[in-house]
Amino acid sequence: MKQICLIGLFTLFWSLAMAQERQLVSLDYEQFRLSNGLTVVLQRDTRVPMIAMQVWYNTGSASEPSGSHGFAHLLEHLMFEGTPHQEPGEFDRLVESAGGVSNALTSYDHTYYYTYLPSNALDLMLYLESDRMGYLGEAITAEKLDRQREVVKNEYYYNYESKPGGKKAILMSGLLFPEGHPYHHPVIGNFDDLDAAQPADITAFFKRFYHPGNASLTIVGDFDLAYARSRIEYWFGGLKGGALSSKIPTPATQITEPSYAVLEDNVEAAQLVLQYPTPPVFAEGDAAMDVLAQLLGKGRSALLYRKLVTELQLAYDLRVKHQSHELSSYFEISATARPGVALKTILGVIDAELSGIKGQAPEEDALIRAVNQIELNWLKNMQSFDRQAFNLSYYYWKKGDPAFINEDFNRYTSLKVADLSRAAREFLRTDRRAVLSIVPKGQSELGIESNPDPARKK
Amino acid sequence: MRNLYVLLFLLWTGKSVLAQEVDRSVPPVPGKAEALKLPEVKSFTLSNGLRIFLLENNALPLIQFQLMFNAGSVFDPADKSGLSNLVFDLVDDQTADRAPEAWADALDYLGVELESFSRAEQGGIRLFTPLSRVEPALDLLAAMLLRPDFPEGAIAQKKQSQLLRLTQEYSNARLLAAQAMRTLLYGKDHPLGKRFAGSKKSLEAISRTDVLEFADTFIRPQNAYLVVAGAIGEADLQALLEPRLQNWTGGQWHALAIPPPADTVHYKRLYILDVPEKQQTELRFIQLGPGAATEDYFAVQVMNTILGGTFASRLNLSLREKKGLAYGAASGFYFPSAYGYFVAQANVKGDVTGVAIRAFLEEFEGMSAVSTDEFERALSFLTNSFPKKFESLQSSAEEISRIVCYGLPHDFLCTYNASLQQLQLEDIKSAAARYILPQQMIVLAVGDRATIEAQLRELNLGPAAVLEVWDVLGDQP
Repeated sequence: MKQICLIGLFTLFWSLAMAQERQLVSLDYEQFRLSNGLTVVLQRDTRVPMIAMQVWYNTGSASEPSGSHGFAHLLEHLMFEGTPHQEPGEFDRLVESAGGVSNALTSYDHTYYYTYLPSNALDLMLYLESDRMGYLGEAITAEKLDRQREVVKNEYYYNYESKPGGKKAILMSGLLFPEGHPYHHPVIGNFDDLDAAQPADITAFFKRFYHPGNASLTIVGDFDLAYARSRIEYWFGGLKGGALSSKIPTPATQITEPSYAVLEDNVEAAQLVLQYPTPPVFAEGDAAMDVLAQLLGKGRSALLYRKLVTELQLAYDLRVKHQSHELSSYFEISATARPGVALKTILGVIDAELSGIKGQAPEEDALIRAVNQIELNWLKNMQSFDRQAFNLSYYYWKKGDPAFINEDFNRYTSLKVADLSRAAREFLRTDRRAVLSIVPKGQSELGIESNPDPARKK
Repeated sequence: MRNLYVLLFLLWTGKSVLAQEVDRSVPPVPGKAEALKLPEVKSFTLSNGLRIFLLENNALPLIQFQLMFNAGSVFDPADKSGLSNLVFDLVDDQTADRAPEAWADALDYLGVELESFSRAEQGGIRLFTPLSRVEPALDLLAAMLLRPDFPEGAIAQKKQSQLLRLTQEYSNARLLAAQAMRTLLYGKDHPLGKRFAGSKKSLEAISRTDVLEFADTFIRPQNAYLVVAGAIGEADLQALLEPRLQNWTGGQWHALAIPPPADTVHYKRLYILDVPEKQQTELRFIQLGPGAATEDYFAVQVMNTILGGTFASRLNLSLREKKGLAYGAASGFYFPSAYGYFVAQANVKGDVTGVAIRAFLEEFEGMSAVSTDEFERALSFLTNSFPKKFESLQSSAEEISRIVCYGLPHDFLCTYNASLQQLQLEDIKSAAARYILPQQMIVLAVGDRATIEAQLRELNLGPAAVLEVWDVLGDQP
């Protein structure tokens, strides 16, 4: 297997001639499909003798009908627990002995498995990924399930119970996405459903969603392309394929009025969290919302940060992000209040600032700053094999084409300031958002229980 | 290992029909790994005495600068804890020619990242820029160094934010545990035991004069070194830096000198830090360890990889996979210039605190035996994952910075894997015997006393000292 050539062509080249002297880096990759339906994306990058390998499955928590909330993530855990050919624990032992680290992530829309390891372990990793893709379903036992159920519960305690304000993520998906929406329930699920899970249920979930026709394999790093192609064919080629699954059991609906919740928690300062439903990833308005998040809240030149934190000094911090998903995305603004500041005062300032942007487009410079920051992040990510493997897989699944990795940035450079105003008007609506107040115990009066100004309500 | 293979084979033959023509009974064994070809680190000195270390890497049109000062929290005056934090919080906010707003606009418009930070031993400034913007980016860095500005109003505002961070420690068990373990290990007035962000009292004691003096003393070229990683050669770099920084002068090297921990520290103790009604317990097992330049560095790293450094390590397998007590359990060594520490940790439900402590102690005791197989796996993990350190420019710069900061051998990175390969199983056992001493550890449980005290009594580890939050953090601001 020592065919890895060290001199090889750089698959990266600098493209220096873009508009505004942008120095983006284009990626050259190859894509093909095995006869069983597995999509493969390979990109060579010889900076270090390592590879990042990712396997994405076209399923996530949005695939779970009611009664099975949390199964996608539970299965993600079981994927590390052995197959008919691998004892439990052997997967991690083999990966680590090779010098690698491996983990996985379940989201609403996808479940992906990522490993970063030395180039010489390419064949080992293809073996392990193909083995669990093909055979894991036969090895899900009650004992393994019980153990991982406990681990998942501990994960819940660790992530949501033991941190001040940790329940935020759980509460927000319930507030923003109405009952019946595939994103209404949190990815980690609920204890009732987890407790009811039987090996046969998880095996059925596995059989339905985990097969070559519903998966992609991406490798980025220092490896020989021809060798990789032949080993991929060898290990994955014999696995039984299937059609791409339709993964959403129920249609997505929108909230039609603002929803409010107050969480009394073990926090020292009150926090306000706002979420607005925004268009699906890559839909019209998605890029504008990305830029608005940057322009309003990221970096010290951001407009809303400047207003709330620097100028009026009502909040200690301000965070704004736009999180894109396949059915509906969300735009989140969160702020931590200074002592004695009521959250409705902060909400008032946010609403006034947003209403300013809706009425009058921000200055050209503000847009340039925001796009430059997005570009800088992009360049920073170029250094990471993991990140490149993520991006190629992401564009394949969300946009149908990894090639979009080289075009995505144009969505931002082509925006005009008027687009931002229009998107703010359309999506940052006071009558359609989730408002969560996290307040210190016994201080619920700091929170916002319902619409403070009913007249504005439609 | 052999037994396991036999077992796998039996399982496989039973299911052979499913494996079709591909033989999955034995995993492929990776061949010899490609060694990372590290370019030489070049070094030169500017006319102002600033030492430059360059790792040229032309793969991407990007450059990372990391300017480090011996000016971390350990250099705070005794009654002015939090000063280093405050100064480095202010440094990247404005200059004499640009107020905060104009400064932030300039940085973000240019599209570069320029930020300062303070750690226990060092403070620093980090600049990340595309090659195409390196000149204006360095102009901004030079402005920060030549024309810093610390107006009264900005100081007051930063103090307030720092106070909030302090306040948040009172309700966040993880932050509380992190502070409590250092206080218990070193004593609360020790440079590594105190609160790096200070206290309400120490922040109040800090005047603008203190800020100016600290910056004037420590943020100087002769108390600094600059690590550069990225797409630039030595001559070009020198030509960019010399004219911009030649008027930034003076200072002297402030060597790191960590004193021994206070002799009031009681090791071998069980502590409950009472957070009433808390459902989970944060567990910490801590003891002093070696400093960064220890000759045991590699043996300790291998030993810790076996104990708690990775997912498949003993602690995680026991606490998470076998016993289902925690989402994860891990351990690590922290290596400052001297008097480092070992910490093992997990977050567990309150009602299994005692069981979890016992599980940890069993794993510590168990380190007296290490198998050849485990040893080889850990060695292989550390050897083969080494190139990852050089994947990003920032992490490359950090690796080089560590060598300069702690005076490690210049060939430390070039001989990294050779040093690992020289180790014998006996070295690992010996490292475990010297650095993992369950009888002398501080066991700290941050959680609800009412739930956990009786469980701890059953462990027969002696009486538990009970602490309140303010014993560790002082009165709430």
